[in-house]
Amino acid sequence: MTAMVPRRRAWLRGLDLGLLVAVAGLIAFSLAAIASASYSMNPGDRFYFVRRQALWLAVALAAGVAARLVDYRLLVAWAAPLYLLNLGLLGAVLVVGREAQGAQRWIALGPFDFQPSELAKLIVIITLAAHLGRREVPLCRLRDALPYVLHVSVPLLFVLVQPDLGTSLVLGAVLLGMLYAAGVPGARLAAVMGVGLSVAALSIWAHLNWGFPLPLREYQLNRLLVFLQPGRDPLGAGYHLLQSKIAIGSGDFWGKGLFYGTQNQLNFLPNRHTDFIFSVIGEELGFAGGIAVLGLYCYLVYRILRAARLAGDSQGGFLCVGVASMLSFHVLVNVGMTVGIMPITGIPLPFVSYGGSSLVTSMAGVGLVLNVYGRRSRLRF
Amino acid sequence: MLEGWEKRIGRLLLVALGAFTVLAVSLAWLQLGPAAATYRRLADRNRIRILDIPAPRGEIFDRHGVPLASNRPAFGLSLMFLGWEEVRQSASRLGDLLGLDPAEVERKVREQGYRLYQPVRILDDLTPEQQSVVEEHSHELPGVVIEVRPRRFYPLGTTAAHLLGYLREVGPDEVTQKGYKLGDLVGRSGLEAFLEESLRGRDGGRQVEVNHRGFPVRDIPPVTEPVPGQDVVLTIDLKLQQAAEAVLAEAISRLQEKYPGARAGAVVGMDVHTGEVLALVSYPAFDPNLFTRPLTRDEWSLLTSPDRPLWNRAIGGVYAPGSTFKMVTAVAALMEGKVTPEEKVVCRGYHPATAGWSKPKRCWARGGHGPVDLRQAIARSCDVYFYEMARRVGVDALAKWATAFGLGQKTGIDLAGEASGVVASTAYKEWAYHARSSGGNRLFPWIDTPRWQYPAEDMDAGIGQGFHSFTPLQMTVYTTMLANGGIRYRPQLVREVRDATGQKQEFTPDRQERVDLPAKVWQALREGMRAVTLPGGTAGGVFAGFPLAVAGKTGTAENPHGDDHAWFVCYAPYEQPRLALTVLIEQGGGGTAAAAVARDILARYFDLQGVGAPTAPAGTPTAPAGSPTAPAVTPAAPAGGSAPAGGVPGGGE
Repeated sequence: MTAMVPRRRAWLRGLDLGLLVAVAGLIAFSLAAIASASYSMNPGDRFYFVRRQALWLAVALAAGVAARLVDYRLLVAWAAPLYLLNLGLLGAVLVVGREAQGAQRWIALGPFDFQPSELAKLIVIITLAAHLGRREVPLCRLRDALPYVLHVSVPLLFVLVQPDLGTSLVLGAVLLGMLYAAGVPGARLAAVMGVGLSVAALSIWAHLNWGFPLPLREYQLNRLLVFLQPGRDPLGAGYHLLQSKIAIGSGDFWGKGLFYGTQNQLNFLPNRHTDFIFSVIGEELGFAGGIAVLGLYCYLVYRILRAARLAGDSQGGFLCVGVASMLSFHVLVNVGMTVGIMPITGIPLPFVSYGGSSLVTSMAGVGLVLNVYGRRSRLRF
Repeated sequence: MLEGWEKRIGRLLLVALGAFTVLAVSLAWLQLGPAAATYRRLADRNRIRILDIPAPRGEIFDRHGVPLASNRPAFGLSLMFLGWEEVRQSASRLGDLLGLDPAEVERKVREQGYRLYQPVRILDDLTPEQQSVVEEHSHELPGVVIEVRPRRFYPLGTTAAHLLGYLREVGPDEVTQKGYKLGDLVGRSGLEAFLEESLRGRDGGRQVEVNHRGFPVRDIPPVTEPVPGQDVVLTIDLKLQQAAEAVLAEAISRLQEKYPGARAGAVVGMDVHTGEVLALVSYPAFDPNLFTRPLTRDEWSLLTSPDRPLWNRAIGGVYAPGSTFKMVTAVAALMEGKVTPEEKVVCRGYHPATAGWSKPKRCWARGGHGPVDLRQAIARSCDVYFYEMARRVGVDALAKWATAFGLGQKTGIDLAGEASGVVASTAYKEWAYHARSSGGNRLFPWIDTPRWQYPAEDMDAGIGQGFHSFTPLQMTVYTTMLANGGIRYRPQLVREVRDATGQKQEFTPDRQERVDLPAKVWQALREGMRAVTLPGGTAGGVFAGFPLAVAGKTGTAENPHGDDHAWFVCYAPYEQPRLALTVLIEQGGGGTAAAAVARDILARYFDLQGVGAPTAPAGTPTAPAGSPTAPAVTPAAPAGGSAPAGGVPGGGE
């Protein structure tokens, strides 16, 4: 038989170094971009936001380590209570939540504001993985997928009425990715997506013509309409898009240099340290910087899906697919918005945008993947 | 693992890579493609700013089209953000030139957050001197521009101030939630607040390119046109409003010689057939123009003085109704079958059943009225008659009929800040006394009435004393019902709302309920109220020789904090009632003082030449500026506090 693998090597084997390098690279870009984006925001303390983000990074690392250490099979076994906890928290936010910028998303928890919809993404991934992982044969028919669709729809509706359109879309993307992995044919899923988009388009049309109620604030609707009709509101919602395109478009190949982007430093970019951070990277680090960031994401998703392929059981595999879907969708929608191929929905760029909740969620997601990866071959010992 | 797992994971990876490829291609297209040069040029010269085209706020007119609130052009100083160095330079120069605090200027710029593509409003309403100073030094003030904006203006000053309300600068919450901009003014009281959504309009805007000094050099289409606010036509009749304000102010300043507590009052006039409010006066008033700019310390202390000039007493003040309540007692007794209009009650100056009490219930006329029937009891305001009626029907029957007449409940007028008042009833008194028995009477600490005196309280309730407290507006609604045969309308202030395209929204009378009483009951009440202003009635002296037939009722409400409150409710003309009028003077002594005010208002409103001019005692202070001088010829009797039947403690007159 094989000799005992030294303990230290087993630990290293359990860590996917490639994944960690990708995350570290993204965080390096993040801190640089946040430093530059917030440089002119607070002349009294120019690195306030960087320091706060570094603090959050520590919290996020702790969350990631925790997600790595607790055996994922234990998490999966606790899926039912987790699911109820999730609904409880999402329900609570509607009742006692703090309202900010027109939406009720936060619960005050001592000095911190806690955003249950962030946690909801992870819990939906875990519980859906538990649910799908119990299958013995692949899903072939759309009809068989109904229980899983219902599984996600309940928390999704809770999030939608907050209203938090971005997070509900993320939950939808997670569902689609995991259903595909479970065997539902891609053509069927594409057809469902097509129907969904048509229904959305139709209800917006009905809203404009007959006042059909939509779970959207007026500004959100405006952003969607601006996307469909770029000339619609150049002074309001269209302004963000235009300024972002000017920032990225003027970046050229090597960029204007960190701290030298005029769009950034002269305050033309709105929300530039959060949702529009990629515009700052595009302007100051140019095409080279933008492609580097996209490359890091590609590699990250590749490593996560590799973990899915190698997973020891299907529940672990589904966990990884869920995390990969979540992160890819975030990147697609956020970067797509800054270059003008997606509507403005206010979804942050994982690991890069300023903000603690998103960083903690992403890091915990990566922790889950490492968890699955590290326990992939225990059966072989 | 599920069958085909690895294949599907591989395909998922392909999908993700495909999506990232699309992103990479879009990025390349933007940064390296044909449009990149354009974007570089735009960024080099990116000095696009968004300027508001402010929407004028809707105007407010009286029912005949006289403007009560309109707009005038004003010059405001704004700062275009060109970078923090420039902000600091301009802020410190503005500090030297105009005496602004540079730190305050910088704070305003910071407060605007990322919306720095819009100019930051620093100062509103520059004086011509300030404007020329800024223009002379414009080369030292990068980014400073002067904008013309419409500004709220109340041409008649204090007239209808409580009704119109005032504007204040918007709070930070509303900026994000309701689409206001920092520095916008929003309605904070009165109709300006109640009709905010109609009046405010929507600002337009244009994109301009600014030069390095922040001056707009070029428009970039498209321009969004502003949508002006909707104009509002009120039910208010300015003639009646101004007459009421002038007469009330004059009367109060005259009354102060005798009753130093007489410092405030209210008048409400209403159309008896529609519920349209024709006048709504609360005294003292304020000038809403003060609020469109920062208040000085003196102005602020004046506005927050103990007289509370910002408070609309006509809808928010609650007072015991005194004898003006007696028609309710009469209706209750007639409808419960406890009396007929013809039955006579003998008044000997006190109620016989209470003769043995330590405080017998006395009539205001100590000598007594002799035998009186219902009409005479109203005309002469005999307390003993109504003590007896109240004793016969009990407090809960009174409460039932008071409620039917809309008393003790909000009327639903188009204003915020309405009080509901209280109708005395057994339930209410039990609640109030319960509060007392468990640790003192918190509600009415001055009352020290043990439980066994309940019957005395019923009697007090019958003459409008005790727990009853109503607003002048409620009393007016009640008076319109006495005039129109029991139809209760919701008081309305808005006659018409129209937008810039000429679309109109007109308001119709809002009929709420009808108190259905036999014709002979209405007739008895009408005759009784008519007799009030005829010789022998409590206001007979005041209305002697008055050419218009008026039906009314005086009231003198006991006030534990000072002199009695003076009430008069009336409607006119008697045969074909049109106008119902309520006058209240806080600590005005007695009802005849209020009756004299009503008489003079009616005289002016109905253009009764040579009648009703106040017969001012020698040395009366002159009328407030702006009030027309009334003709001096007068056959009317002496008015106000000099009338013989002033308030008598122990009973309402």
